[in-house]
Amino acid sequence: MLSINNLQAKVEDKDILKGLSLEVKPGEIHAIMGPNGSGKSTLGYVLSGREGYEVTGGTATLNGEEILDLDADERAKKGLFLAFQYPVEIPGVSNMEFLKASVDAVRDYQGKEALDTVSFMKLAREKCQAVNLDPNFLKRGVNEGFSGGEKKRNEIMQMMLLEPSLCILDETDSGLDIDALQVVANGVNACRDEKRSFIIVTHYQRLLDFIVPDKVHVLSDGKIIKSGGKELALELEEKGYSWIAKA
Amino acid sequence: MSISLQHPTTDSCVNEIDKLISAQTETPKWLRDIQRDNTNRFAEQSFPTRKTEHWKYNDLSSLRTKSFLPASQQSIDSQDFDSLLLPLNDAIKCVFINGIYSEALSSTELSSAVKVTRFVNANERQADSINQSLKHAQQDRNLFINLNSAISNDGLLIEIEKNIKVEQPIYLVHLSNSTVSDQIATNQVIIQAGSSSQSQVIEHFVSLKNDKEHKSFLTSQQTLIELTSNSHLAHHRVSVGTQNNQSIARVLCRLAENANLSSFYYSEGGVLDKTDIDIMHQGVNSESNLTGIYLPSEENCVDFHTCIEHQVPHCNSRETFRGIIADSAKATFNGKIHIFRDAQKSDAQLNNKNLLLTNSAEINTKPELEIYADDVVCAHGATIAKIDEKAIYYLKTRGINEMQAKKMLSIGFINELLLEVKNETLKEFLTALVQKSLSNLR
Repeated sequence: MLSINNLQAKVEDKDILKGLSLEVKPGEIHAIMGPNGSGKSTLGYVLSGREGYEVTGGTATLNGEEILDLDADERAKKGLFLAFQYPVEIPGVSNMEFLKASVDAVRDYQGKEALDTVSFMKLAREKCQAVNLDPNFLKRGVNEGFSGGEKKRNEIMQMMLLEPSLCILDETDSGLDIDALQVVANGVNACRDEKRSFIIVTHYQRLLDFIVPDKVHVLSDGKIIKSGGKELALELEEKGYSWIAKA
Repeated sequence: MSISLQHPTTDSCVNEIDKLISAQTETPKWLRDIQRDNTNRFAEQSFPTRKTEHWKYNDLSSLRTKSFLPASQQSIDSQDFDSLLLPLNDAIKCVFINGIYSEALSSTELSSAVKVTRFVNANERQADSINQSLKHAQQDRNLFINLNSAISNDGLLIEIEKNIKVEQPIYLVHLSNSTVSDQIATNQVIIQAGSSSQSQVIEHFVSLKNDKEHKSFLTSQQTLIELTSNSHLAHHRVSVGTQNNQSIARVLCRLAENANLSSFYYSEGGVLDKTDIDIMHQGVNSESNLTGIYLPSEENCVDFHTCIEHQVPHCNSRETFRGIIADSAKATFNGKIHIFRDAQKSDAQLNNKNLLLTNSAEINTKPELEIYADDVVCAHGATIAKIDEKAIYYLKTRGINEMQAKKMLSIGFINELLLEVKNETLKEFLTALVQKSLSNLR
């Protein structure tokens, strides 16, 4: 699925990723944890193709195909999805119009026929329900005036609509109350199958109570310094990060 | 007889206008007096340069090298013509070709509540009222408007009956059809809304030929709108496909007590497309809502100079202009709010936002407040930005390519303002037009 080898990247002349390697197999869920400033969000930005995040070395392939030279929209079409930590507000563009354009673009790339408006509306309403979002949100500007929880649920809704093969969730759990957290987790679990993989970037172990990861990695200073099973998350919750850094 | 603007204040130019006025043999005396009066006002002014504040961002040098012939009415193919019109089948339609009223193409009989009269046919009462309107409209910052009233030996008076809701929109079509270059087309319209009336006006400027050879076609137009007490008017003014024209225009709206004006402007710019908009709150508790969109591209220019005067207390004004400037186009927005000394409890807000799509696009924006009362609420602001890179990235991560993302964001920027269009047919037309003009983004 995703194969990252010795990835190095910098932002404004500052090295952030310093040789990160990661292998995610189809159907697996990987959690990436780590202290602030360790490069967790940068990993998501670099993989999704944000401008200003310059790759200085290493490779990343998605389903065997090198992705680091592709435009962000090309990567999305090939099945990479990033749920934003801070989803962008776009006044004047309706959520519906945005989602339709997005689904159309991805379906077109996959050689599928575009959905007619009626079927799309039906599908969008279904997904709204799945993440407990009032369908009236579809008529509003993209994320405009949404609460933090609504924005995050909107991200998960988009993920469900686009059916990507690799989903990166960048601190989707931050700022959520337990109810919203459960909604997000249910969304992820509903999408889970033997082909779809997830990278879940998080500060807190609690999300991993609801979404059980296959592997847990600790990112520190731009590198993965420790990997383990789901029990590693519990250990981190208890002892913090310092014991690993020292080790 | 042609009018040279080379030395507009010299006797020779004034003589030319005088000769022209004398040659217009059918003009009634009262109208001729107005023409003479404006000729004198025109003669008193010097030709604006880049140092004249009102014209700071307009290059008028090309006008100075030319002699203009007053444009004549051209016969046109009705099929070509119909295809340019908005599908407003039930409208009260007044058509001008090169500024000259065409009775054949107009249809004004649809409603007994709207009376359409050419200045030359005005009765004594109407002549008086036109005279008054033009006196109130006098100004001294734009000599082309004086020139307009000096040359025009006609005009259209539209009177809306009191106490009535006019269902049919009043549709004014200004068609330019330049067959030879170096012509000047002039036109003046007066709209008087009777007390407690409710009506809708659409002014539509369109060019039959839009080829580059006719860049020296100059149109000068003035619309005077008078809202008597408690009247409501939804006014729209759009120019489409006139990119190869030079247009200098002015709209003056005067509001009596409790009157309500909603006014919407749309322009794609032209070689020059300058509109002075004056809204005067002259009666207490009157309200105005002014909205404008400009989308110039290539090397076109658009210029809006607006001035909202609160002359009396308890009036309310809102003004929002947004522009997207592409290629090497240039836009100028000057928005002034003027609160008179006695206009306490005024509430005035003005906002101008601009998106620049390229490094060579230019915007000059200047919001101004001039306040002489001390108990008022006023706000003004202007922003200039590029399309938000973060928003583009967000859309791209959802599979939407950069071009489409830019288009969606640009349309989104304009969309909110299109909601202010009160006429549904026009709204649909403009929505499609905005989509089209922003689909060629680079």
